[in-house]
Amino acid sequence: MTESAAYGLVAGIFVGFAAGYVGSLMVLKRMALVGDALSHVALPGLALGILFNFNPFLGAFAFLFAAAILTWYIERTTRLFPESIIGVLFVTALAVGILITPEVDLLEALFGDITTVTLVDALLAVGISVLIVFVSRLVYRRVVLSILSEELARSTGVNVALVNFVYLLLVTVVVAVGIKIVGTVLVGALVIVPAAAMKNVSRSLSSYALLSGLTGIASAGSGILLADYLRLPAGPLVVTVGTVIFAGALVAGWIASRQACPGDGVLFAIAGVVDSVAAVRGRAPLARVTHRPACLLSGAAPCPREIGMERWSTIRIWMSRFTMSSGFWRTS
Amino acid sequence: MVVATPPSPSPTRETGAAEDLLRVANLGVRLDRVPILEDVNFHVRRGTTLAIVGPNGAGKTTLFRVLLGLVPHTGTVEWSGPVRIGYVPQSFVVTDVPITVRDFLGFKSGANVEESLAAVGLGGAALPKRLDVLSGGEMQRVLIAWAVLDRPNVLLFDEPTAMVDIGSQDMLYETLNRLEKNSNITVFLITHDIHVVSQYSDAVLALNRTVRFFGASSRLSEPDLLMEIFGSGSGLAEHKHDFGARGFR
Repeated sequence: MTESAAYGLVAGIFVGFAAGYVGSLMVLKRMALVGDALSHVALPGLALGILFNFNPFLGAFAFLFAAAILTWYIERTTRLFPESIIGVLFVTALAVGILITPEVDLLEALFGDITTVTLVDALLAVGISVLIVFVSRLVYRRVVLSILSEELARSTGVNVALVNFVYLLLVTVVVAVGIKIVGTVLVGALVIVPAAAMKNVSRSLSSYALLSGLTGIASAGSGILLADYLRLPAGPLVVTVGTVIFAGALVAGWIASRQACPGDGVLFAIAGVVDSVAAVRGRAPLARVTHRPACLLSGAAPCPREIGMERWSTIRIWMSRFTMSSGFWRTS
Repeated sequence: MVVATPPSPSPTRETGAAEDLLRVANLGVRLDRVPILEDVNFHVRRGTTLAIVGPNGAGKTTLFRVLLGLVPHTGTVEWSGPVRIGYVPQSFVVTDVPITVRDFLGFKSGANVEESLAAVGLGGAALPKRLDVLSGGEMQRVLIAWAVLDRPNVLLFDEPTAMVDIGSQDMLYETLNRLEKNSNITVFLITHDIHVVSQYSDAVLALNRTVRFFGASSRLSEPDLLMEIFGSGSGLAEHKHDFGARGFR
């Protein structure tokens, strides 16, 4: 791994967590596509940076910040929802951005380039990500309460307008730092996919936020490592890994919904992966796992009973056999 | 044109204090230039229950918003002494948010969650339950637990039984009764149930943009008054709630 790729990996891990964490709020606010649309607003800023030879991401951030303030103001003074306002801003910014971005640099602006991450970039990404998570934790409960009932939030002294502004600002900043990792086109996925995946398996708010952040780390970290190994662009692989986790979480959520104990679904998903790895390494599947860790991981109330792994043995053995016989692990 | 009945003195409970907790004078609210409340006058004594009735769109919920300080208004709203308000909103539907009772009640930091749950007849077993799987009655109890978490001296209930069945309604009023009995709380209750008003509140405020009636809730059984407030076709039919020997009030 090159020095630049290592910086990219560190930046990606921190940005991944911050993006997943903030993304969990966006999914709850049903603004999943807003991050995607907002990211395109950065394009004219990137273009100006390229044209006038200053850091393009400063330009991107300036445009995103302006868009956030404009969105917040229009939302307060009209009856338009933020997604409509951002929708209008998005197409305008995209049109302007494409007109002024030099063609040769357009690809990097659209899809990011992790191989150009410097030490300063990485440190900046780490610092900003830590700040994002810190501020998100401060406003998280207030945002959720205003989602549940704006009236109830206001009755307890929550300044809903201020909280919405801080929230929009967080989205803006996380999108700005995420652009370096996956580009403007895919940064929406970096924010949304981990949170959407974990919503299926989370049983409490605190576990949902944490799992979304951890899934962001898993997506970004695995995607960047795979990109380095396969010599492919990192952005699309980060998003692809996230989508695979999303599909796994869908299956886990579906199984959990059919079980008396929701933790079983998560356990099944984890146990299948663990046993497949064990089979590849020539070891027998783990002898016994209780469902309690899976319950706790998903935030569900642990059931008083314990489920032996025998329950899943048939399926797990099938998965292990498939892994061994397909020779999947050898191809990589 | 309907002429508002001048406010009459709020009845005092036999054992209650005589001090006014709230005085509202010449209250007016306009939203988007449309008058929602006009020239509203009433007062409430500490430790009593004021029922607020009126047709849909009468301004009942807006009055609550005024009391919570959430909407601009004209006139005066004067509280006597410090007030801590607990509020249960009219609608609270949770769908698709992975939030448990523990998460929700934990939003009010430093509060004794388990004590509040016990006060509304829910045990600690409810804590890990997600809000979106609670029944209507359980949700209302959780909302009441939320409202009483930080030990308020004023409770605002906006149609607390609107979305629950009759059995759960009885349980909820029992809960409110118990809470009120155990602490000297002043209750403001928006309801459409005239029986609950007449049997379990001290005073009634009938609103329809302006005050249509303000006085003793026992007077609400008068057919002429009912007709004046709710229009023709209004009347009382036999419909009993069982709130125990003492009743809600």
